[in-house]
Amino acid sequence: MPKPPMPAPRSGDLIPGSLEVLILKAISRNGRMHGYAIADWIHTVSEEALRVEEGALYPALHRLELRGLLEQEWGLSDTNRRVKFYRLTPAGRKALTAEREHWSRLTTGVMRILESQ
Amino acid sequence: MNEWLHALRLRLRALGRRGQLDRDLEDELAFHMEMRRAAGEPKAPFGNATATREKLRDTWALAWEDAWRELTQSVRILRRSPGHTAAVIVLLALGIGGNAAMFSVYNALFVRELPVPEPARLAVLNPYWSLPGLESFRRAQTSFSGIFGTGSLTSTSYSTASGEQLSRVSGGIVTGNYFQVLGVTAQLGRLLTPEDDQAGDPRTVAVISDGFWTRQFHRDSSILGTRIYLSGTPFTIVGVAQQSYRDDLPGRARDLWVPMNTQPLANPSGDVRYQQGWRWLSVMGRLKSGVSIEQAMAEARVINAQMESETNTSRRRFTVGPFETGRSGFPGYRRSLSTQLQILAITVGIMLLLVCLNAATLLLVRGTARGREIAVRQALGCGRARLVCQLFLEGLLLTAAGAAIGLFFAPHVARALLSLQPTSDIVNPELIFDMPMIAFGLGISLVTAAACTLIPALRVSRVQIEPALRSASRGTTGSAATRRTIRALVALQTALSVVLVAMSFLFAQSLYRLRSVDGGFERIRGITATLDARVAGYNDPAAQYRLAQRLIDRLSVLPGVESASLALCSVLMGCSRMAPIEMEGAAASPGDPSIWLNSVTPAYFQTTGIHIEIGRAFDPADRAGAPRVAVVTESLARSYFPEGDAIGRRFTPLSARGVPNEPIEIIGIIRDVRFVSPRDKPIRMAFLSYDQFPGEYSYLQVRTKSAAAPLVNSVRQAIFEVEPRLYMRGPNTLPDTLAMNLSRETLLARASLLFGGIALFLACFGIYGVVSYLVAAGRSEIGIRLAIGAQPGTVMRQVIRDALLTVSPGIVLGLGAAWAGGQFIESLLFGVTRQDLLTNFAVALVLLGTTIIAAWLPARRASRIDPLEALRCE
Repeated sequence: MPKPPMPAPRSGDLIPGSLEVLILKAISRNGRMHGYAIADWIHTVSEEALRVEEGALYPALHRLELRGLLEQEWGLSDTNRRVKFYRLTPAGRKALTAEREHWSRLTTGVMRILESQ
Repeated sequence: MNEWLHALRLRLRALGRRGQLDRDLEDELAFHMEMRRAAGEPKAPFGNATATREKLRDTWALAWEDAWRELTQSVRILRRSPGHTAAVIVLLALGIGGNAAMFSVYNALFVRELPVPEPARLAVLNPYWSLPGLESFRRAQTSFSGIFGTGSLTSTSYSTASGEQLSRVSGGIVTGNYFQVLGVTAQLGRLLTPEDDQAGDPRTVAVISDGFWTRQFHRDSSILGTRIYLSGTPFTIVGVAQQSYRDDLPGRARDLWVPMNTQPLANPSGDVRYQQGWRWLSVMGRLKSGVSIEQAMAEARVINAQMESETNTSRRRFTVGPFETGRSGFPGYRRSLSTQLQILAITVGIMLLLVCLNAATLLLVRGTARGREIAVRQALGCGRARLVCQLFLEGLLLTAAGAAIGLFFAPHVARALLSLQPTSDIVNPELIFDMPMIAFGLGISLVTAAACTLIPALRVSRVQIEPALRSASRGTTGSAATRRTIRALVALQTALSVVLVAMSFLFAQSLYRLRSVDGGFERIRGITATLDARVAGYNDPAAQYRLAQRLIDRLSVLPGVESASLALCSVLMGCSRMAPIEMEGAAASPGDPSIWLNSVTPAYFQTTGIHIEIGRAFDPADRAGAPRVAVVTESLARSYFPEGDAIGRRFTPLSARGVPNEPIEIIGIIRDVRFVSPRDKPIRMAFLSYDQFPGEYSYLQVRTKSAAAPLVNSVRQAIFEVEPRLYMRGPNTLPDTLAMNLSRETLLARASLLFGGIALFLACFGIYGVVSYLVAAGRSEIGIRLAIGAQPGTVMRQVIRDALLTVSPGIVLGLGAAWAGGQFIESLLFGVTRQDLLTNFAVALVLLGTTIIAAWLPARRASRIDPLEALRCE
């Protein structure tokens, strides 16, 4: 199916393409996480600058899983619900390193331009 | 690639547990919502969760689930226009069916292996062998674990113990090791063994085939021990061969096999086993494992050379021709039919191309009509690749339906094609669905689908979205580029039709000329039959002579018969006696000293209508005891006496069968006769008087006062009255016999006329569709022209002229292609060449005529367009 046109990012929205690296980072930092915890962590650590909606979060998680960067694990919550946890695979760890370099180059470049005299 | 595989594995796993995946997605999202509620966040807008779930499900979906959705969509679309869909399916069935039919014949003759163990180890030992040659080679060689020889039982009559005559039995005569070497097994009783085939004391036993067992004995398992009479000799049935084994020659189905050494009993034309120079056996061997055909051939050459030097007994000699693989049996029809099969294969190939173009045009015309729908889909974001895919899928569906119908009818079509031969029992291949056949069906369907959808798909997917959406009608008329494509497709169709029509014209003309060529004898008012008196026990010349007199006396007084004669060799039938001669008063013979020696009863020349040019025919004075005389052909006379003084000369035949080595005087010369085929070169033949040289005869000739056909039965009846035990094949009228001799030409002419006709029909169909389309497309323009006073007749002429202009490049192209391709069939033509102007002109004329016919209806429709209505549509 064709991709819907991407609206321009506004406050609270993510830079397109950044969600996956944020997910990988969140999980590598905290080990085993479920979806809500990932969204929450990103929200908190970004000092509430970034908000991830589930409509974007879960497809991204599942894509990462299909690409073999994450693996799933099922557990039970305190309220006795089935919870899906995600863990990084070795391939995921490698991908995170590569992505971090990519993003730091990109952001440095963007900032240099924005702050140039 | 690894990532892709990983995803595929996960998706496949998810596919296996669709319910589980749905539950997982549900639970995961529900937990998220619960956490949000617990954290006091605002509720997500209604419907968000559903959209997310759909998205996730899509993430996990496999590509082919998509394809399935597309497929059901395609079926819906096709069902919306049933007439159009049916037309395309019928077209494709025609094209694919024809090709599958040809392939089924090719498959049966060329591809399929003999149903025996390790067929790859079988080798055919070309050319033909004599029995002594085979025996001496068999003892000397070391390459083969076994070698067998086999021949056909010709002029054998078959009857049951109750005296019932069996017609159309195909008998094989085989060395005792035949079944062992091949590895054929018995499904009932036993097969032949070397013990059955002792030279001095052969057992009169027979093994029958599954087909004969079914046809004659209704698979009765108590038939072992039953007797069947071959030329009057009882043979005991000892077994039935395995069901799948028909014969060693693909295209032939044997009914029974008897041991080689029973030949003189089963076949009364004399003992040919040890006759000098009589090479009549087809030979096959099973190579020892590890021995190649080339090694076996090298060894055979060495053995042959040794035998040449050791012995001068010529009867032991053999020729080492090229050996070839015997995995599919003897080459037989593979050789004799290969030209016809190739031409027919090319023809059906062109047909399929024509069908593809036709279907492509139809799809394109309809695709443009669907322009609005396609534009809508594109506007909704349907990518071009996806659209092409969708159209290809539609094509695939149509092709699959066409292929299913075509393949179903393929064996029937093949049988129908083969029955176009005047002699229907010539080749009878086993037409079944096996792996090669299925592979062919699949392959040709894919290629066809691609061929007929690609152009329309590429064209249609380039529809301009905006204008298409803006136009008021549901259909659009397509861009100028699309119209150009359609015109080009029609021109190509015309070109292909021209090729097929030209081919059919050439073959038909060549057949006509072959039929009307002057063979030097009367060939309308005549009947001929093959006879063998030895079957009925007439073995010595005197007895044969008396029977001949009785036959001729009886037939000559038959109402409607002008004269009757018997001969050893006859026009259209052939000759079997050849011998070297010594000519008195002539220099040593020029080249080959052998001539054909015929024996004929006195009325022969009158009966066959062969004209005596110089000298005289036989008269009653030329009886036994009188000086021996002969009539010779012009070629024979001229080869010895170029000055033309042959009359009165004497020649002596050397070691001819049944003719003493004594001088014979030439009393007459006949014009050269094309003896068997109109293509024959003149032959050197001497006609001897049967009164002076009584003995065997093979053919009966009858000259009728008027048309021959009504007399065939009374001639058969008369022969039967004189001697019911006589072996007889025929009688047939001369025109029928001629047709059998021209069976190859007839097959080609008939088949190509059939295909030419179909091609014309297809072209007509295509032109009609396209002109209709163009008229519909130019509707408003025509309306305006009519409104400002154009005459309907002018409009009509213009539409037809436009159609003619569209097809004429095709006609020119087609004539060029036919001219270039004609060299492949040149050698098969007689009396006409591919450059024949009249033929080419006629072909062009036929195509132009077809175009006018096809364009007529749409043109008339155009001339009756109501200007007001046409303009209102805009």
